[in-house]
Order: sequence, then C-alpha cells, then structure tokens
Amino acid sequence: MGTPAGNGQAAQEDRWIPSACTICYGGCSILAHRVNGTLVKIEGNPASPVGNGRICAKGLSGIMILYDPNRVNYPLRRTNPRKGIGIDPGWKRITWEEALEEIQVRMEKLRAEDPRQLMIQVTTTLAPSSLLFFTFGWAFGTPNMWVAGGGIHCGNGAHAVGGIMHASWSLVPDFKHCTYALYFGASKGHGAGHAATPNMEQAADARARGMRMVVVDPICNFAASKANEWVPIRVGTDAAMALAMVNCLLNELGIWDADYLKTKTNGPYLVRPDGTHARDPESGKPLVWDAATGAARAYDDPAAKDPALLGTYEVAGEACRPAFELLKEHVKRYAPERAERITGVQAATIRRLAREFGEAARVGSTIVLDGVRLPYRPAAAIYFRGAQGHKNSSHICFAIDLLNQVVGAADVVGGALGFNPVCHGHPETGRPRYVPRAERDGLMTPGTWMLPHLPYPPAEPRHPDSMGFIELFPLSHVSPLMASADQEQWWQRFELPYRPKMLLNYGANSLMSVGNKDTVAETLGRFDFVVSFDLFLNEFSDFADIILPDASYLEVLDPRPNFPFIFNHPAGPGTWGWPIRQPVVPLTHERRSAREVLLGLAYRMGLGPEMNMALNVFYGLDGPQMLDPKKAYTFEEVADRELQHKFGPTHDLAWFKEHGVITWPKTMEEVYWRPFVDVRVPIYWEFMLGLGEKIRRIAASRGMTFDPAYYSPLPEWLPCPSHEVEDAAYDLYAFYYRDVLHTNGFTMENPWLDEASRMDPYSYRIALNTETARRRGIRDGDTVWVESATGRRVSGRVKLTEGIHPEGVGIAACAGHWSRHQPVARGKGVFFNELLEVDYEHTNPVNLNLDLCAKVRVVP
Amino acid sequence: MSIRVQFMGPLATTLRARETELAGEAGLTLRQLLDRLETCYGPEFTQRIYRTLAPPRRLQMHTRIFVNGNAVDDAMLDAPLPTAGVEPGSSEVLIYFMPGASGG
Ligand code: SF4
Repeated sequence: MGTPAGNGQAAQEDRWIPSACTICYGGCSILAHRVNGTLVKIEGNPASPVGNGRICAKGLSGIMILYDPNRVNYPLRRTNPRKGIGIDPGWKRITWEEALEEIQVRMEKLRAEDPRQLMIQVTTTLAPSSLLFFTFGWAFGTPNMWVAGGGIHCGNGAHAVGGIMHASWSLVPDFKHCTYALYFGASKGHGAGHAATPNMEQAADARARGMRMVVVDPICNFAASKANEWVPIRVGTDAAMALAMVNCLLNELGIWDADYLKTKTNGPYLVRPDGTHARDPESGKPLVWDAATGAARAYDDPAAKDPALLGTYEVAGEACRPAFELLKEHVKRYAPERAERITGVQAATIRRLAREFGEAARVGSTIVLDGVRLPYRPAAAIYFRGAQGHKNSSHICFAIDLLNQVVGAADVVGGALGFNPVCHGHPETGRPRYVPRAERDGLMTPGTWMLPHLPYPPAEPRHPDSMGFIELFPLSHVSPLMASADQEQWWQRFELPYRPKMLLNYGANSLMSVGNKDTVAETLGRFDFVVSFDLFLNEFSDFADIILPDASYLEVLDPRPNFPFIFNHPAGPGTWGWPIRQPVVPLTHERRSAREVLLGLAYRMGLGPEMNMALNVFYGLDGPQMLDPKKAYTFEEVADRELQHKFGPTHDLAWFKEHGVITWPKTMEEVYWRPFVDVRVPIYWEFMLGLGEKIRRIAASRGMTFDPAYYSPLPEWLPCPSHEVEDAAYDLYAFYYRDVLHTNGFTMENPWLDEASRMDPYSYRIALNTETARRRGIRDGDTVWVESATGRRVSGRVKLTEGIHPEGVGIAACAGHWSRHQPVARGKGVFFNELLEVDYEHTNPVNLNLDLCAKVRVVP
Repeated sequence: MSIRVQFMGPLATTLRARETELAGEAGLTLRQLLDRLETCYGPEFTQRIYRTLAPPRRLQMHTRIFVNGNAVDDAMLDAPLPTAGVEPGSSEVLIYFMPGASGG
C-alpha cells in the first residue's frame, strides 16, 4: 500500500503494525501507522477482542509520548550527593557501561550481605509487563517488591474478594444479558482500567439495549452521568448501604436463591455458638443439617439431599445454625433507617433499590444459550476503587458481593461476572488452561492468580521478614509499609534483621503516587542508592542516583500484554484474544528496553540459572520450551518460547509479529462456568476467625494494635479515620476519582491530553457542591485551600456542581506536578495524595489497603 | 531408578543443599519422593512445598516442581515418576521456590 508521504514524494514505506497500548494497564490492541520510519497515527485493532478497534483518548495520544522532546535519552548519574524534594541532582551523562558497572558492583555487594536489602518498585501503569521485574527479584533473592502508588490505590480489597468469591481479579456485569447493574464506586465500562475499551463498548451496547444502571457514588461523573440513576452517598459508607439492601432482600422481601445457596455456597454449613463450623469428627468436614433425614451430615455427603438454610439444630450437644441463617440475622442490624444515618441515602431509596435489584434477578429462572439451559439472573452489583479504597476495604467488597450471592447472580447469565475465571485454552494446544477448584471445606480457590499468594485458603500468618509485613497479613497484596511514616518503628518492634539499602525503580513516581510527599520522601531518603528506569525525569528523580533511559511501549516487545486473562481480558461471551506488543519503530538515542537490560544484568551477575528458572515460572514454560538454566537468552528468544508454548510451533514470534493477535471462540462453559464447576464460595467467612486470632497473637507480641472486628466472618460497616474526626471545623470528605483522560497512566505531561484537560471543566479543578460552596461564600473559579484534619493542605480552583455529594470534595487523578522536567504538567491540577497519611493506622489490617479519603475543610 | 533432585531459589539456602541423589523403586510417586525428602530435610522443606501440612497437601503456588523438564501440578503428585530422564532409567526433579512469595 502506498500513500503520499506529505512532501510530494512517494512513500517508501507505509505499514500498519499490530501492537498493544500501555498508557494504562488496559493494554488495548492497536494498529500503529508507520510511514517512512515515522509513527504517524495510532488506531484500535479491529481484529482483536481487546478493544475491537477502539481505543481511548490516551491511546490516541501515545504518539506524543514516543516523540516527546523531554524524554530521557541517555543514562544519567547524579553529581550532587544531597537528595530532597526539589534539590537538583546535578545530572551528568554517563555511558551504559559505566551505569551497569556501578549497578552491578553495588548489587553484588548487597546480595553477598543480604539480598533482602534490595527493594524493587514498579508501577501498575505498565502492569502486567512490569511484573517481569519481579522475576529479577526472585532471581536476586529479595521478597521486597511492590507496585508503588497504583498498587495501594487500586484493589487490595477488591481483588482479594474477587478471588474468594469469583476466582478473578475484578468484576463486571454480564453486559450481554444483565438488565439491572448496580455500581458502587466503580466505573467499569465508563473509564479506564482492566479491559477498559472493550468494557466501554459492551457497557454502551448494554445501556442501548435497556440495561438499567444505578450508580452509588459520591460524585456523578463517568459512570453515574450515563446511568439511569445516581445515588449520592457519603464517602466510605458503601458497606452500610449494601448490608441494608441485603437485609431488605432477606428480611423484608424474602428474596433469595435457595438452590444456589445450598449447592454453591457455604450457606448450609452449620455454625457453632463460638462462630466456627460444626465439623464431622473424623473427616473434619463442615456439617450441614439434612432436613430430609433429620441428621447432620458432611457438606459433600451425597446422602445430604436437602441441606437446611434456616433453623437451629442440636449437634454434639450444641445449638448450631446454618451460616445463611446467621447472615439473615446479622443483617437485621442494618435497618435502612440506620443505614440512612450512616450513608445519607434515604431509607426509602435503599428499600426501593433492594426491591428493584431482587426482582430484576428473577430468582429461579433459566435461559437456553447455544442449546444449553443455564441459570438466568440478570442483575449484578459491582464494586471497585471508589468503594473499596477505605480502611474497611475487605468488608465493603464482601458486603456488596453478598447482593450477588444471595440472589445467585454470580458467574451465571446476566449476573456479576469475574473476569474470565475459566479458560480451556486454544483448541490446538489446550493452553492456557485453568479452572477454579475446591479447596479446604469445599470452598473455591482460583484456577490462576496474579501473585504467588492465593486469596483462599489464606496462608498461615507468620512473623514478618519482608519490609511490608505481607507474611503477617496473608490476604494482602501490596503494603503501604513499604513507604509509610511508621515503617522504621514497626521494623524495630518486629526486629527486621536488615534495612533496605538499594531501590530499583521501574517507571513509578512514588513521590506522588503513594501519599503525602514528605512521608514518602523520608522513606526514599533511607536508601543508599536508587536506580530508576524512566521515560521522563520527574519528582521521584530527585531521589535517584542513576537514571536509565527506558524504551516506551511503542519500542518494546511483550509476548503477553493481556495475560493473565483474569486481569485484563474482556469478560463475558465473545472471543478469546492473545495479542502481542511489538516495537513499531526502532529504538533511538541510547534508550534500551528495561527487560533486556535486566536480563543482561542478571547474566553478568552470574544469576543466569536463577533468572531462567524465574522466567520459566513466570511464563509457565516447560517441556521443549523450558529455558535451560545453564544458557543465556535474549528477551526475543524468551518471548518466542512463551508463544510457542501456548500456541504451538506454527504460532511463533514471527507469526505473531505479522498477525498481531490469535483469537478463538469462548464457550458457554467458560463464560457461565458456575453451574459446571463443583466449587462453593463462602457467604460466611469462618476462616477469618482463626486467621484473625493468629495474626492478633503475633501482632500483640510486638505491641501492634489489632482490631479483630476486621476479621469477623460476616461483614460490618466500620468507620474510616475520617469518620471519626471530632473537630466540627473539618466537615467535608475529600476523595479523588479516576479521570478518564489520566487514569493509571503517565499522561499529565502529554500535550494532547493537557489540551483536553484544559477544556474539561473538572480535570484540573476541585469539585464542590454548589449549595455547600454558597454557604461558605465560595464561587465558581475561586482558589481555595483544602486542609486536612491531620494538618496537610493543597490548593486549587473550584468547580461548582450539583453532581457531587454535599459533603464531598472531589479531585481528579494524580495531578499537581512540580518537577521542572515536566513543563506541560507542572502547576496544573491538584495533588490530592498530599492529603493522605501513610501509616498503619490508616491501613486495613486484613488486606493492607490504604485509606484514601480525608476529612477536610475548604477555606479561601 | 536413580533420581537427581535439584533445589533452586532460596530453598537451596534454607536446606543448605543444591542437589541430592536418591534411589527409587519403579512406581515411586512424586508425593512419595517428597515424603522421603521431608524425612531428610524436615518441616523446613515441607512448609515450602505444601500449602498446608495437613491433608489434602496441595502444592504451594510459589513452589514449582519440574520432572524431567515438565512442570507438575497437584493432579500429577500421585502418578509414578517417569523414568525417561537424561540417563535411561533415571529422573530429574527440579524444585524451585520463589522468594517474592515469602508471605505465602
Ligand atoms: S484504555 Fe488504556 S490501554 Fe486502552 S487505549 Fe486507553 S490508555 Fe491505552
């Protein structure tokens, strides 16, 4: 294909190259238009289900990242030994060999002393590619790795609950068949994030088809503005509303799916007065009460024909009750009137929504799809960052998901779907293949997971020897203690036998993405040496010793931009797609792919066997594709083996470079898998009792306060620190929301997105309720201070709106850059995270989620 | 049958061993082999291999075992070890433990 090159000469080259976007972790499939070696346009790839040809504004603007004149193009070394916010490191250009030599010498010394002194920090933006950095950590021998910022701002609670209840990282409504979608602080299908653009397409089609959408959120923006109904809620109180709705379903409306609860949950498992399950003395299996024979039997005893969900039964001299009965009783404490006082949502609204949801679920109905009769429950309750970003994170998500569980709307037609918990693999190879399975007590464990740290059954808690204490909190993913104000205090109390000395950073700007800058700066100041792979110098760079010029996503290879499918592949019926990311232009200057650099560094440090084994595990390589521990490989060779391992020798890297994506159809058994897989999920988290007690004992031995209420088997609404502020002067709740122009991306420096943000009335402003502002004499456009009850403050211009809860202060994204190296971003928008405390007190003691709201006042 | 077992990752440090050689009768399963290794190396070994010490003992997600270059899962624990290793009548078992998962 030839087109004019624009200068009157015929183009020598005119190609559309299939690849994948990575401005956020959505990883949408793209086609990059290259003319005479220059990228001129990015579009979506219609051949791939990861977007079906659609990309967002950020994806279109990627060309501005590739050709940004402010890119880091050469290795840099600081000359100024003083580090601090805004202190010029005095960068000088060095060669790659100088940089690698110094890094190698320092790392070898560190490893010989204690490899745990190395901390690895990556960013969600580039996930899952950045997870490859973890293989280097495994090879090196450090457990201290984290996804900075995005990690603790993302889904510590949502993912763990998703894993326990849906065998997946996240949830969406079954957009194809759902008729009633209830969103709690989520924008799935209306913003960025997991499978962002495919979800947008599916959500738009669902709304056009007539799916009713109700959004419970303090702010009416990306999801709520397109919904049938917006329900403004007080920040951080979603659990109270969800529990009140469950109460209405069970105790006022009498709506529940008895068949589902009996066969697919632990609803019939008998509970003793002490809260633990009554168990068969020989097998240790939980007992149910078989109403047909009037006897207690193991839950999986085929003779237990009719397990009771309600009632009280005597077992071994104790009065035991089915877990469902306890849930039904428990939620009576959440009368809609009480929930109204907590949430600000009227009791009548809560009752109406519960009735609408319960009726929409059509309990007992079935539908025939592809000749198979399946349960049909076209109602879904969805949660994500907004709802779960609080100290009570795990209970919030559990409470919301109970709405799905009690009506049987979990991973069935029309209900709440995990992202692809089941995959039977490509028809030619059967790979990738994973299916959830029954674990302890018949409860489900995911078939695949993002981390080597399964949500169920949780690991035994033990005295921590990692910086973040994740061994002590086995339901956690990412720990704020990696950059918290009180980390040294906890390390001393738990006698951590080392201190972090060196930080290897991949693209994270943790000075801005974690919490207030002073706390993070103090933790960064503890490292002797910081190495950072970056596209741009930024606020974090002021703490780095060596900067390595990274290749952008348009210049690198990645054989699996959308795997694991539980993370980042569109859910629901349709097509499986496995695209690759490939360079669309050659590398220029002295930029290098961080993957190649790390692989080379491991080999030159003599870590080849460990690195190759880590890669074998990461990519699941075995058989002929297994990397030989004794050999050295290029990253291209590793990618080639990964693709051949999954799709056979005819689908090697060369094939993928030409075709971009391999697709195959999804089956009903994969999409609506719940009736086909013999697993149960817990509506009563009995395992939390023992787990909480073990953690309490270890924590108490070192003076760590620990509230067992977070480990109760049934969810509660528990207040955030912001709800407990008593000073009446602080009367508003500040929160941030994910601006679709900037979510999960390195976008603030992008001129096209900056232009769009300047046209958007909210991107760079502080959203305040019109009436709230009027009472304070604040007018639209005024500059105000937002001051937290803990003494931190940020300034910005106000945008007045009716579309925010009267007690809410809404701030978009992670703006307010101050680095002199970010000329486009500098001084624009508001740095919300400055208001956040980063310490154990503001952390959920189950999943280590950081509390992301702050009690504030707004003053001129 | 001769079985060469290699330990990689921090497991080697914990056990103070990089490899060991065992003799096994025909029909020996991987689970039985792991039991024998437990006898040699104690609970330090077993805790890193299985999620729980009590049955059903399932493999830790952060531990990978390869038999003659093929990754094994729980379903293969009770199958006889293949004898088609590098040497006829031998098996090579490689046990890899990931340090990043020290939280379990
Ligand atoms: S949603 Fe994310 S991955 Fe998809 S096009 Fe937009 S920025 Fe790129």
